[in-house]
Amino acid sequence: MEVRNIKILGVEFRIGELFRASRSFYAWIFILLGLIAVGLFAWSVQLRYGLVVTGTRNVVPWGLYVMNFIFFVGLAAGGLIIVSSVELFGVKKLAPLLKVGVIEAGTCVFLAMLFIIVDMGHPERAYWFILSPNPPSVLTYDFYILGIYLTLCIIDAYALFSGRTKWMFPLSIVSLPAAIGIHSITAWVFGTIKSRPAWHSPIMAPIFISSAITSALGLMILITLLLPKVTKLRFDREIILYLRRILTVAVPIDVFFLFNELLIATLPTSAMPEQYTAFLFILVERYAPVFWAETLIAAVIPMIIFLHPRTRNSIPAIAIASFMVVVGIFMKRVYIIIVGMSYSPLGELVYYAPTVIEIAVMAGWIALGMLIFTLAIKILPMEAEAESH
Amino acid sequence: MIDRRNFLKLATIAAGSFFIGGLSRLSSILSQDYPWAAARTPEYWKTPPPKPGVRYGMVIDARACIGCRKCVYACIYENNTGRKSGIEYIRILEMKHREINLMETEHYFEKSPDPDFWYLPTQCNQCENPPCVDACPVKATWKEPDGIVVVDYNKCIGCRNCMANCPYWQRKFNWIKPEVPEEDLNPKVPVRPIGVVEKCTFCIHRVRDGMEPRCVEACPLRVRKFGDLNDPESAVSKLLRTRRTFRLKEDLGTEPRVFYLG
Repeated sequence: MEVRNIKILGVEFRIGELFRASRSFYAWIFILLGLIAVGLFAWSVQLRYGLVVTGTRNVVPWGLYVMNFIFFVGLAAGGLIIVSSVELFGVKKLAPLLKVGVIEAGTCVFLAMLFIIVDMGHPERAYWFILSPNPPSVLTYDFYILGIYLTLCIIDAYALFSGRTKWMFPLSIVSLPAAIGIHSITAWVFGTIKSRPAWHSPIMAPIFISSAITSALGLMILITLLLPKVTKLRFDREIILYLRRILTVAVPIDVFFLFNELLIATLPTSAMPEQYTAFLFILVERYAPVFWAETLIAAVIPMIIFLHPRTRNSIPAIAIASFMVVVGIFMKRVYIIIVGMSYSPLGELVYYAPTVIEIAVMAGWIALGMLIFTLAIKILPMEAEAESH
Repeated sequence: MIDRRNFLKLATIAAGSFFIGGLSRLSSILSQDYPWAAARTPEYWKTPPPKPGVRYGMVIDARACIGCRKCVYACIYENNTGRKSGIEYIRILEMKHREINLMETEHYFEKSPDPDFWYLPTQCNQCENPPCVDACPVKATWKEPDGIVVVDYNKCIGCRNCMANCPYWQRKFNWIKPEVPEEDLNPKVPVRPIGVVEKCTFCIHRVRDGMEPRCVEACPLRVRKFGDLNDPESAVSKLLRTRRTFRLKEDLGTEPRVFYLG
């Protein structure tokens, strides 16, 4: 039985590849499906018993799901920022990453949506976003920009995979603002809350975007290193070194923005009591390990690796540093939520810790994202345009 | 020995059953607990209708409050609040003398009155400029013509953005399905579904019928006064004219309508 490739609207789907794959590929798919099943089961438990099965309560109403949401919005935003910079700023070196970048961005924004769906008490009522949107609420715009962004990713992918390279420039003109927009709007959801002084800050959107670019670059480096090991794709060593160079700039910018926030929140002449208490909680109290570990693994160690002459050009070292950056930015999302939520506006302090259900749902959704990514890489023609010319 | 084709068949069948099983389970749970709602009007906020030209407000003499929590429990019974939901519309804060510092409060004091502390009853302030209403992405919460901020329990999507935006921490979420004993059910108040946000309504079902909110009635020291702020002859208006009052977090510009005698 030979399964033929199918072509829909000029995009070739190499379905046959699925039937010719190695045993380890099927094993991988199987593991992912198992994790997705676990996640779906955990979600069904949550739907039956309510959000009480999560670690969130009235004092800390947002938890692991929202942390994942902003993390994946960041990865998605960073993905299209990298992609559109190829066309807009002529970074031709990164052109081989176009297709991977678009798939990564699309998958991540889809995951972000899934995390919001499980966070809602009534996801089946989401149609009210369309029937009665509330203009003063930033969350309304977040819903729309997520939808627009996913659509843009799909159009971008269609243009790339059907060989319509002429579309890429106009698409990039739209994609870049959308990528900045999706993450700014998500940051403003938190930055515009005057009742949570630790969040109420104009630096929120800049921090979110710098973290987004940092984590997305780290993930792109990991993907570029991993894909040649499991597929026939090959990437130039130069690409990784180039991504590493951008990361060497992105990490200090991210640290600088955060330092601004910390200075305003803690310096005696500027510290407002509520903000100060909240920041002490992540700087020296219960969540201090998360904060300082993040500083170490998302900033200090990667910067040493990127700057030291003996490690800066070593691929394994860059791989380790990139992995640290991605994990570190996730931890940053964790304490950014914690800092605004742990103290209620009436001064009640609650320690948030995720439950098994939350972690299972998270594992399931991330496995689903990996499944989508794996299948897309498998069946879509990933060869870079540059090679076919 | 499983050959590749058989393995593939197995994997496909397993994958298919995972998805179909999971999705059908999800859809059955969704249709069971959360019926798909067409645009429904919340009739429960229309009967009885708001009186024109009325602006409800409350004045609380915090100096006299002894922290007995009679109002807290009366409120739970009046409003069909789930007995195990961990939701209270009123939270009494125990604070040190000489300060009003909302970051230094004791919520779970056991002995009261304690002469070393004073007590501040807090509840929804029914703000003139409510941040929660602006924060709701789907207009599931709004300010009624008589100034009471209400939630449409059939529309709330449970995103909890209003909880994050309330400067007074007066919105609570139904983390579990509220359980109210049949014999204690108040027929005038809808029992909330799971997964929606709820809050104090100034006992809207009572005050629109000319009664006082339950907490006002339940206070053994009559610490609370309730009435129409637009009516110069009401008890609250007289108090606001003749006595010094303060409101919580006035610097946020929310214009609360719960006043404290100071």
